[in-house]
Amino acid sequence: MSHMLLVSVIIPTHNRRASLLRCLDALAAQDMPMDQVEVIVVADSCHDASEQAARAYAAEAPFQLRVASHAARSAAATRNLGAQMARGAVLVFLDDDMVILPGCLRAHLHALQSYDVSIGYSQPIIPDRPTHWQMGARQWWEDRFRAMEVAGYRFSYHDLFSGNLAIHSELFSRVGEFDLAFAGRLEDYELGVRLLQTGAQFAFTRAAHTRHYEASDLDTWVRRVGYDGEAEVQMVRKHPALRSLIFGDVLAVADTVTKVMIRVAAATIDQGPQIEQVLVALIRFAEALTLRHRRAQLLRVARDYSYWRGVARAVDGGGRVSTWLRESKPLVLAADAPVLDLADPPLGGTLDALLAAGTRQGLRVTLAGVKVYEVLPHPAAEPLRLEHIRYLLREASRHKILPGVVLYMMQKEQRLCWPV
Amino acid sequence: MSSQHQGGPVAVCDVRLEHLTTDLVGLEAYARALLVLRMGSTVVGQAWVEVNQGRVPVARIRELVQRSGWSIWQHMLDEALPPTVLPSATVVVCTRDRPDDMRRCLPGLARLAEAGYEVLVVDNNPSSEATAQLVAQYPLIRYLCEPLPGLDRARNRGLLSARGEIVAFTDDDAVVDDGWLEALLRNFADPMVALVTGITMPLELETPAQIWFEQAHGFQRGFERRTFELATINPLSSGQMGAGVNMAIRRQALRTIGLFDEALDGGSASLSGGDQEFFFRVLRRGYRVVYEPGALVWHRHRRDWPSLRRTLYGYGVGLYAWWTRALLVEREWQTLIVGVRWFRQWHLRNLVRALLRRPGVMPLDLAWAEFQGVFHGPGAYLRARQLDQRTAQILQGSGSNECLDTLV
Repeated sequence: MSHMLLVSVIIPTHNRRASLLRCLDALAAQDMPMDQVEVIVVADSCHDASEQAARAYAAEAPFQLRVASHAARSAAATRNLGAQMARGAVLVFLDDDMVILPGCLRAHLHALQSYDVSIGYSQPIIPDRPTHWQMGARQWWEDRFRAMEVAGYRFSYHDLFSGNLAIHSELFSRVGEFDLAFAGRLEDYELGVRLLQTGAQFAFTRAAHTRHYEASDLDTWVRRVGYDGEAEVQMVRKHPALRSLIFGDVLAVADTVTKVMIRVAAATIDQGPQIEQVLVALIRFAEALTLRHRRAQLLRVARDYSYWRGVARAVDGGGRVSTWLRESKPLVLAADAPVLDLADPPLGGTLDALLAAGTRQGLRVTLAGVKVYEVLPHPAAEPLRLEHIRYLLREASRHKILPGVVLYMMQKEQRLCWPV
Repeated sequence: MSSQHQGGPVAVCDVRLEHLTTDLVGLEAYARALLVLRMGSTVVGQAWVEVNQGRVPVARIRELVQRSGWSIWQHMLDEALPPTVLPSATVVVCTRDRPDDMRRCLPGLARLAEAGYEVLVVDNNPSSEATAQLVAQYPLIRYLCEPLPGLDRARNRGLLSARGEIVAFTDDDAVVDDGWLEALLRNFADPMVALVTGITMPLELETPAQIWFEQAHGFQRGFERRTFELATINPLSSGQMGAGVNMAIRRQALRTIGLFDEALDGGSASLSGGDQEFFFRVLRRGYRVVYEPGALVWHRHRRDWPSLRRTLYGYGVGLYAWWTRALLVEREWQTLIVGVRWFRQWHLRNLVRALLRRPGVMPLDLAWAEFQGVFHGPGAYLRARQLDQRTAQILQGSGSNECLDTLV
């Protein structure tokens, strides 16, 4: 290879031959010089001839297509294998159930000129006659992407989705690949924690557009929430700083129902699958009768139950989960946290120092001594910038006047003009 | 309500708070006025005031504006947001033999056409050439004729003929204000929003019928932007979200939502309800609806009392017609509970209170008309649907679903 390849697209796949081929077709239609693109398909424990189909595709593909296979049953290991094979300066992780739209790769490359990580827009596509759960899932995804799009959004570890993600390959190998301990869930969030701890800058790139065909449904989701619970415990074991963030205020804000739920979930670890099945059946029943309020309640119960059962499983076979939660201290803003007072605006240099300190300790925004807003310390988010504070104040202004006044003072060029 | 009832015609005043320096004058013909308080294109509040010797003093208005403080604050926050790229749009007006109203409606539409938006006038089963000739004076406005009667047929015709990503609707008896379309379009930045409704204020309040309608029903749904979704509103009360006189629809979402039901609304046996039934389906398919007080349309309410009575009868019929559809077609079992509860707490209660002549109550003839309508609703819908199917058979395969496939 005389010149460095620009992009390596890595597609892990598991028994989804048809959608894999659809994904490859869409890649072939990218408006890029194809001699700079390589595509790596890693088949994990496939028995539907995905691997052979991909090899056959390679003969006619306009890009270099390399195929590997192993039997790891782990998305993390499969992506890592792909990354190890990759020769491009940029890695783009795609999922086999995605269809990439024209301009996607170029948009990622453009974003990576100024940022370290580019999170693409994976538009959820659901059937024309969707189930309730699918509609909810679509809304969840769209809302997440929309939030990230707003100027001044402060990225944190759980904005890193491994489907439609672009990253410099040098950074990926420096930070270390996906952690194999997280076989099924949250391995992307965990990578996000490490990336942010090295000070990586994230960007959301809406022009890096793929269509994501949502195939899961209520029952798979309820099970997955349990794995998420397990994975979050694993996460705080690996990164103790996150314990307060994830589990710190659970008992403080939980109502009695949730507290009882946590105990029940811990006590019924073995009977869990049956209980979850019953809950799913009840949810479906409520759906059929269009009892929406009841359904929403049941959905919350099923989600919490599955999640806390997962947490209890990971924390030590149950029983001790309440104690463990009590030992997790909530995040608090220290009394000596840095203060940004708008009536006494600090000079440029001081402001930078304040913000840098605020990244770890949190920040108190005041107006002539009156508390206006608090930024809690965040162990796994982007360094605090002025635009983040502006964003937070703008959101808070919807409910209170004072943050808006502060915002106005920060943007002196805008005149606050009462009409009467 | 009853005290306001007797006072004779009411002036409708468009009050721009940015330029509020002098008294409102020249209202000698009126004893009262409805002030529409505005900042920019946004309506931030309204106030019914007494007119003294043709004049409303500015001090009185300043006093009243204080109640709108929060709406003004929200408006100012919106103004501070960075501008977004607006999607392309088509404006559709459905009309039927109302050339006089059309004449008032067209200049506003022509301004939109000049601004580069596509504008369609759908003439529904016209009995004369009057509308066609009128529209011909505006070369930028496209004229379509829908020969089969029915407001929802005309709306569907508009949806299927439009080229914009968003299709905005208004009625022939309404006048769009400046900034109307842009205000609607801004809300489509959220991909989950499939429908945006705007605020509708009265064009005039000259007759008792118009005044009563504005005070008791009206089309105004408050002065703050609100977002609705299945988790926060019962889709059977979709009338809270706005009306077909002022709405915009994301065309791409029609694949899941479907078109308007042609067995509903004006021109069919069901008389009304087509817009509300559509709103219901928007929510049921998991999309969001936004009510936008920045998108203003002025509506001429029915002038004479018999028309008002017919309108209210139509509301009764239409409501229970579309609820029948929700029950039978969408299997919305809650309709059984909501339908009974609403009948008891609204229609029956209104009628009883009217009979007992309680203060501030609905006039008896109107209560009776609406009450009657309720009982005709379900049957009317089933009849209309049968007719509709027969028409569909006659037209052989021009079924709306097939059209949809070509559309989206």
